[in-house]
Amino acid sequence: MEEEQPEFIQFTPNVFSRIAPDIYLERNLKEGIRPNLRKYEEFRSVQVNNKGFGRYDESNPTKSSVLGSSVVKVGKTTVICAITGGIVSDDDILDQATTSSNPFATVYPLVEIARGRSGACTDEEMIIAQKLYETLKSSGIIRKSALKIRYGYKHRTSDDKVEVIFPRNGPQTDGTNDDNDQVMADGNTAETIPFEDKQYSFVLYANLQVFSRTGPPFDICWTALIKALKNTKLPYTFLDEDTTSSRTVKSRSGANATIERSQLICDPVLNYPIKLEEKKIGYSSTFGLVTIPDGEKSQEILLADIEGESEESASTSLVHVVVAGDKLTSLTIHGGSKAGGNGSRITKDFIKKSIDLAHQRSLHLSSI
Amino acid sequence: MVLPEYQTSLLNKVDGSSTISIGEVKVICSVTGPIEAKPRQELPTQCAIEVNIRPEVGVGSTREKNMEDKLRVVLNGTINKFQYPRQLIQVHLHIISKSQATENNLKDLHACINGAYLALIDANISLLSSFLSTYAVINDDRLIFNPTSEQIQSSISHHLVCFDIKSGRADELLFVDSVGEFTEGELMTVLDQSIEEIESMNKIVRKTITEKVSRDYIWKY
Amino acid sequence: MTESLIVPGDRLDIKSENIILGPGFYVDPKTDEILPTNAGILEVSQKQNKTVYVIDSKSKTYIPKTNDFVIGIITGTFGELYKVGLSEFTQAAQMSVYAFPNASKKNRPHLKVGDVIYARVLSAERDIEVELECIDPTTGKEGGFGQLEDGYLFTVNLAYARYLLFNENAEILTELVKKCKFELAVGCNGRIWIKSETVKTTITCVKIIEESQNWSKQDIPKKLKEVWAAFN
Repeated sequence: MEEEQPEFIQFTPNVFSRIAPDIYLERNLKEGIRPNLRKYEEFRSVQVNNKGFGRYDESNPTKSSVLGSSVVKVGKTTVICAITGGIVSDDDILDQATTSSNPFATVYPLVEIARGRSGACTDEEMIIAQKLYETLKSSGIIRKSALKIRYGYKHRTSDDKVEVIFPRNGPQTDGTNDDNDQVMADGNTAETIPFEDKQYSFVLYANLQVFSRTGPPFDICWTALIKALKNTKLPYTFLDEDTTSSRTVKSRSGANATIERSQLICDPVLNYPIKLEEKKIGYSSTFGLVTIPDGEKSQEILLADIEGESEESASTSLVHVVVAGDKLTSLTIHGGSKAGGNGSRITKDFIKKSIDLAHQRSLHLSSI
Repeated sequence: MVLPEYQTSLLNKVDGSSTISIGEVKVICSVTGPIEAKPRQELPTQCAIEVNIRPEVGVGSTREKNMEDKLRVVLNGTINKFQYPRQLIQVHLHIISKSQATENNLKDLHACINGAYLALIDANISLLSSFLSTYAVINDDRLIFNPTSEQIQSSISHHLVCFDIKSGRADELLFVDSVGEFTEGELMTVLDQSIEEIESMNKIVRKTITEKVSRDYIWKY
Repeated sequence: MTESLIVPGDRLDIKSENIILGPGFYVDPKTDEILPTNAGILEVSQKQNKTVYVIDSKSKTYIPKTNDFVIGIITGTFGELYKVGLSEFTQAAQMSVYAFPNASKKNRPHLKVGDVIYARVLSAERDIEVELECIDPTTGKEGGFGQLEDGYLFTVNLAYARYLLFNENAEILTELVKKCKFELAVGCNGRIWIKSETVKTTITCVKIIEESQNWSKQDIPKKLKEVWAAFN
């Protein structure tokens, strides 16, 4: 009698990694290589395209409303970031970020992760957008003063020629002094500044589109946001005499009321680059920690730049670092989920190693 | 040092509840569970955890979503999820009064984590370990725990550290959120000091729990 | 019997031989480590050469265990099955229409949605729906189980309900009996059913039992008198 052989079930890697991500990852790591064929501490390759589709890009003849842009490709994932802007009067209180004594500004990001269907935004999109917002604010890359507007004035000269006068020192404030009212008044004679006590600032919006998400997309989104900010150009703005109207209305009670309508116009050609705190610009990296049983003992492995379903769900301990120069600007550690059975103990060595690697990565990213 | 004020079992209709005040921040927390999960939440081998944070006024925004995500990390690491397969544990937090410092929401999150711990204990949810968090800032090269809002506003870096507690000792790192500008060395100091801070805090919290349990069993003696 | 406060994460020096672990513990499947998972009072006792460890703690949501006596509310009837709610927001338990003494195809109980029953948990497996029955397994007879007609239903916390159920001479009940006549059923799921002669005495008794969760033993006669006086 022929003995019956036990049947083995075979899976393709795709199926295996989905039904048992932890075992799949463990088998791979035992071979000394990650499922995505990278080494443990190897990052994905990065391509950055700064040649944008912005309003002031020479290659772009259309006067779009995009002020800065970037396309960042990391591994298979592509993130497209477009920075747009708006103008608000400083008198209009927007939120606490604008009113508090904090000297740093931020952008308002909108993150969309393409997932092949439409619908309300997911928690992940909201969380990444909020993280970008908070990290940019706390890192101090954009000063509020960098977004302050010193507008010019378009008027008709006595010989009926149209002329635009811009502040003598250029439209940008010097960045060190927040109260630039005086400087502005110096640059122009009083008669060309009709609304001298009215202050305006730019607000920046960032629209990020993530395509082919293969891992936690925060790092790539952050890189795209920074690269886009670096080539963001703000327009010269001026008040137009023709569109500014001022009329007096007489109410029934006999009192006079003056209604003023002013509009800041953005120049289609003249622009200046946004002033960023270059020293504070840093880049973000994410690391996972995986414990694999190795005989009696277990071995802990640090994975850089995690990617793929198995790495994402099996490495429950995560470190996420933003490094600027030799300082850290943001660090988040998600400790091991012991109930999941594959959480790993976060040690100081692990944190130090992550920070070291993040430094190297940050240097590399700032060079491209 | 600003000692947090705690109170448990104040809500009648839920399984466990707590309030916590740390300085000007006040949070009320309720836990319901294990209850029947909605089909889309249900997990075959473990319980689902639903975290909901409500701000002072209005409905939650992305700020609260981000805080929920961070709190979920801590709860995922401590709730004994395999004890309640296919069930749901709901953790609701309402920020009654939020931090006056608008720099970041770490102080609010700090109150949420500690409040959630007490409410989970009150709800008798199976936990793998106790946990507590600390919030520290580095201000003028000094490390200050439980800072006031003025101190927060003038600080260079902010650190929220959460450890799990085994036998009164801070054991495993559950969650860290650091923002601002800091060095690796500073981070390590914060972690070391946080261990001491959490251990001394734990003694006070444990006293609160002892009082709570003896109040629960008052009819027995 | 020794007692002490335990919080989750405390290390206990428990050897894994010759022991019975009650609620409040979790054994790590990988390391076989015994972890306390609830905050409460550790009770250690001896039973048939084995040491029994239990963490007694107060809770409100009921998790069914085999042989628990419970009070349920019929929430639906499906063919030969009743759906019975044991606590709010949790999955209903099921009970066969034949789970009554002498029940047969021709002679089956007629329970309607909203009826209250006193039952025993027949089986409570983790992954299977909980099943109830209204038969005393030792005698095959009714044994006090079945429909609870009229009366009033209210809830107390689970630890207190267990105390009232397992201590026939619980002070609060012996004191209350001196004041009025009533019928009482206590379920492990924290529900208490009470029926007395008038609505007024029912409400008074409910108030007293609810309040007594926060009374110490020596205060019972005094506080009971206070509440009784307030209602009469």
